[in-house]
Amino acid sequence: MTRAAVTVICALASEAQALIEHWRLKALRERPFRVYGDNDARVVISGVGSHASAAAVGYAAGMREARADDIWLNLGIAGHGSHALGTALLAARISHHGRDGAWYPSLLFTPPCAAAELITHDQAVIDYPSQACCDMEAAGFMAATARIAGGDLVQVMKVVSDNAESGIAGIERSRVHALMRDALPTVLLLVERLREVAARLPQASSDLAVQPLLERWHFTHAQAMQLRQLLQRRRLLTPETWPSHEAYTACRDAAAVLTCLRREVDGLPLPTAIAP
Amino acid sequence: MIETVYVEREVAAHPRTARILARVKPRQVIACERYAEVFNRHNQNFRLQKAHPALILAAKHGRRLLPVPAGYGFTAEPAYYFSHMLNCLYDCRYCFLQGLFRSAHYVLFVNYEDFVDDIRAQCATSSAPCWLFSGYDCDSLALNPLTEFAEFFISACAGIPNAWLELRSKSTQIRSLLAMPAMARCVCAFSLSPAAVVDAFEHRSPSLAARLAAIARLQDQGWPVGLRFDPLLPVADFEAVHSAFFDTVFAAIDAARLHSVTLGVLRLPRDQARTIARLYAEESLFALAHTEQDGMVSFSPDSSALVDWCVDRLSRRIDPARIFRQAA
Repeated sequence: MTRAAVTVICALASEAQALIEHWRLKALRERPFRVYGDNDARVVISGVGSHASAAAVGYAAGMREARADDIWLNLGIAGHGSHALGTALLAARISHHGRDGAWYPSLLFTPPCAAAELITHDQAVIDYPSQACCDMEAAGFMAATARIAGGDLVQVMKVVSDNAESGIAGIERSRVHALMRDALPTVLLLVERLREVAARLPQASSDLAVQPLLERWHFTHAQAMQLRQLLQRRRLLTPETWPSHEAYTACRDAAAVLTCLRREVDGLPLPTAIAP
Repeated sequence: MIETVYVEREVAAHPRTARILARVKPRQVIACERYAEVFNRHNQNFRLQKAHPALILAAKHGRRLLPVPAGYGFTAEPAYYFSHMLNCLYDCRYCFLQGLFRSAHYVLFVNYEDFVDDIRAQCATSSAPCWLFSGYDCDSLALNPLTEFAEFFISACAGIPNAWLELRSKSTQIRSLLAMPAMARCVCAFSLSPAAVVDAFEHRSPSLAARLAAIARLQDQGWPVGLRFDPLLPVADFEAVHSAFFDTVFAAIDAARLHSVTLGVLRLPRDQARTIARLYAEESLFALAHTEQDGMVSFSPDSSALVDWCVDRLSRRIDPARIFRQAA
């Protein structure tokens, strides 16, 4: 079983550095976005702002074919009125300041940290709302992923970089890197839990019985699809092993094989004993 | 265990909301404007959510009482269904809710009083019995310790002389019913299947034995009980499996005191059947041969023969006038 692939969108290189180093990702692209990756993880540096984040999502999505179990994570720093610096927070409600509507990432696992509301602003803010985080990307990220990804595998995690006491003056590259490095275990736990959720999606199964039949008769593309579907149904309905293709030697062509097989499969009852 | 509860701002101050939150003790409570912001968004996956559903507390607006579909139930009298809740604790593989909703979160409408106002208004339009079915979009009793649905609606309907209530369930959560006097106009209707079907397809639901024990206790206390053999699945050795099943059922309960028995085969609207088959491609149930007629998919090519056989066997044990076939 292959692991679900995760794509992490960070606004700044300093937000991404700890994760890139931990996963030992290679640089894949330099422009228009810096992309680091390996087989099942990618980190994209989007630049600051919701539009940049949305554009990076679109770019990353276009780099390869989408899968139902793709995981998307927006990771970065955020401000919060009261939470201590370095606190990791999972966004439970995301809105764009001054606009209608909100996104609610599915919490289909036990969160590895506290959950909080997150408001995306177009500019850095210092008048922190009472109960919400403030960032500059998440709304763009959510709007873009809503169009290209399964909604249950999209998350936003923020690490508090500034609060009412500290203000934003002290935010600089090395401090951001340190905050993200300290939060790395929580980030990795989140990715692991998302992969556990993704693993609940059905996996495509390969049927060994199909190949001998494809070799013995000439099946068109459509017929081959029908054959696979019938063999899949047969496998689910009966524990009996597939008879060798010699059982079908009387069949003149692929159409006759399909007719014969369909007759058998349509007559099978529901076997409660082999149900999953 | 429910870890996340979403609360519509409109019901945040509702006393029922406070009681439910106190019982659930969720890890996180998240405010939302309307439940549809969270529930049934276009890119959600029912299967993923079913493993870890959240609870959404909301207010039901619009039509709260709807006419039952043709062929549903057992009466020619006016009949309506209402859903105080969307989705179910159980995970029955054949359930139409998997195809109806993209979301498996539980939505609980806490404005029970508004439902009762609508029921009272509907019942006031005629003096004839008015049937009210609960358990269409959820299990009526499964979450009752949390929702206190049964005690509220039974008490309310007791005060409406022509209101007749059916609570459909697979649950053994009958403590609240046993704690009150039986109401003659409330039928506790239990969905039953052979034990092998329960094990294979009715995940997380009580065993057949547990359901029968609950039925027996309710009968002992005088509650009208209905049996719902629906859906009948075309399992291998259908007649032998169902002969043994009916023997088990009628050894545990008093057939003479049954209010009604309904039965029908598995049938689903075409789009819902396709959605469910895609969600659970590895399930044997959706590998069965199926036929389609008028937009409905039936998974039993000889469905009328299965129902005929069951009606024949059941008629030997209970008054045939109390046996009702559901629309095929």
